Amino acid sequence: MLDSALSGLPSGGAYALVGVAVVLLYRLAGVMSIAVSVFGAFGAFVMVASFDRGLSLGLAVPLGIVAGAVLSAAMGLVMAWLFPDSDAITRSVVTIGMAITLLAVSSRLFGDTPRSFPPLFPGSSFTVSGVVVTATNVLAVVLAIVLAGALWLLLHSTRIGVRMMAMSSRPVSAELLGVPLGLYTVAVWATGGAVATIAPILAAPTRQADFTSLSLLVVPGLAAALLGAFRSFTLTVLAGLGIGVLEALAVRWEAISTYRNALPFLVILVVLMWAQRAEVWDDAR
Amino acid sequence: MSPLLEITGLNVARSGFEIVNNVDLVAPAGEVTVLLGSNGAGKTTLLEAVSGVIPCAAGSVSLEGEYITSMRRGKRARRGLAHVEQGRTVFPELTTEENLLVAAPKTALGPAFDLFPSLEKRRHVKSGLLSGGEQQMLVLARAIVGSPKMLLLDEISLGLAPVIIQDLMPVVRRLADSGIGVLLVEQFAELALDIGDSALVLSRGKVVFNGSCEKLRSSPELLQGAYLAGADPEDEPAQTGGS
Ligand SMILES: Nc1ncnc2c1ncn2[C@@H]1O[C@H](COP(=O)(O)OP(=O)(O)OP(=O)(O)O)[C@@H](O)[C@H]1O
Ligand SMILES: [Mg+2]
Repeated sequence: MLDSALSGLPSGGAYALVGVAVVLLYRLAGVMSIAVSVFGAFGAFVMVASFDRGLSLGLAVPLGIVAGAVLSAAMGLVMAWLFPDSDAITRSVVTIGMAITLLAVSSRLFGDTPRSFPPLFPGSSFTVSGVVVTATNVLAVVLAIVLAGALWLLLHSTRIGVRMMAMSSRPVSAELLGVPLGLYTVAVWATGGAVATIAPILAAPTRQADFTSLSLLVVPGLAAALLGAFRSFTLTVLAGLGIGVLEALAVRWEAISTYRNALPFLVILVVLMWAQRAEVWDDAR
Repeated sequence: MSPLLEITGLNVARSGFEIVNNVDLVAPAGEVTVLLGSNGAGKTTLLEAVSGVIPCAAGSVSLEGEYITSMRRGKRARRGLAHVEQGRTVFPELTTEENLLVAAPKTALGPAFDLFPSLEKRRHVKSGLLSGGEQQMLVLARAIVGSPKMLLLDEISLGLAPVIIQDLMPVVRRLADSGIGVLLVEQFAELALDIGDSALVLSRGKVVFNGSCEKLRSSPELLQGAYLAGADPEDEPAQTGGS
């Protein structure tokens, strides 16, 4: 039982990280970004493609993360240049358009067949009171917590973070005080892209890894972000890990295991219904 | 030497309506230039065009002799132009101190608390929870810590108790005396004229008076005439409510 719960951690960590990227872009760039996990999948495929061509893992992983970040930064540049004063809906639609385009381009570039991703720490594991813990499991949890924590610290205890929050609250007023909106927007997108690339690199070795499925990490990621009310990094990380573990546990029951991919949808549905009834979402927003 | 802020032949349109029409204005350093006019005359629109919130349709704006007419807002700000917008635009979820940090690093916040000692006590309170007067002090302080050369103030007295306004006006005067150029838009014409140097009256987007504050103060009929002209119901631009 505990074994299979733990086996859900790499996926859970990935959901948490995508969720964190979604929350980051929602809070600081004012965009509900479906595209961010497509950038992440692209970065992950750059990583695996360069690994297959003989690059060492230690170089391929950073290369992939940079690729995802650069692609996402380019999206940020488009936002800052062409849609600086547009509303959230317009900008979100632009990112969806971008996501669809990139999906089409990538399926030509990388094909639709699943790739086998190298595990980050092949074979290393240890046993704690009879339960096998792999290094990947630990890494998933640690990475999700550390990255979310670092972002929280950046936002709440540095001047750049304060200026970024001002930018998201009143962009025009912030700019009138000298905040470089364009630069910050690109930086936020780049960070979101980097975080969203780490997610599939973490989870791909343990699951179906074609381009489309990795892009769809955004669905559980959105569920996690929703549970964090699109604000809280802590709740988002907990929710992401929780969904991963639940999914893994669902494998054990024959009757529901075929439907376990629908779990994030179920979470989204339940949260939305509950939120509507309880009307607790107003102050969270 | 060119004046600190110089506006020539400025036209500004909003949703196709010409709101500011062929305005010339000079605001020197160390002086308070008062901009008066009835509701909807185009005062806010004029300030917004100067700071880049909205684009100019024609004419030019220059700061210390440099054209800033189509410069990005952030760049204008970094050149020393500060715009205190109408309506107390604090960042509500940030604390008083964080609001100031948006404009300047922590080491430069001293002047804010020298200017408004009462803000010191509210340093770590979310600015959304401050009183109207405190919020107004905050947005003013926030503009000051960036050590601007030119300050655009849009109705900083709006919605405040008369005693607070009477405290605020001398602060504006002192800022000008320290060498900053101030362009002051104010509902309370008399209070503004008391501390100002020169004055302009805007009526339906046009300058109808340009002279010394003293002159305007001593001839109330001039002032009243200008306000009445603005209130003329005929062919007034559509009032969309809110500014
Ligand atoms: N977004 C907009 N679209 C079209 N017209 C606008 C818009 N905003 C303001 N206006 C119009 O522009 C005119 C000038 O507005 P502005 O806010 O500049 O006046 P104001 O002198 O600052 O008035 P107040 O004293 O009420 O602040 C008004 O007639 C107003 O209805
Ligand atoms: Mg106004």
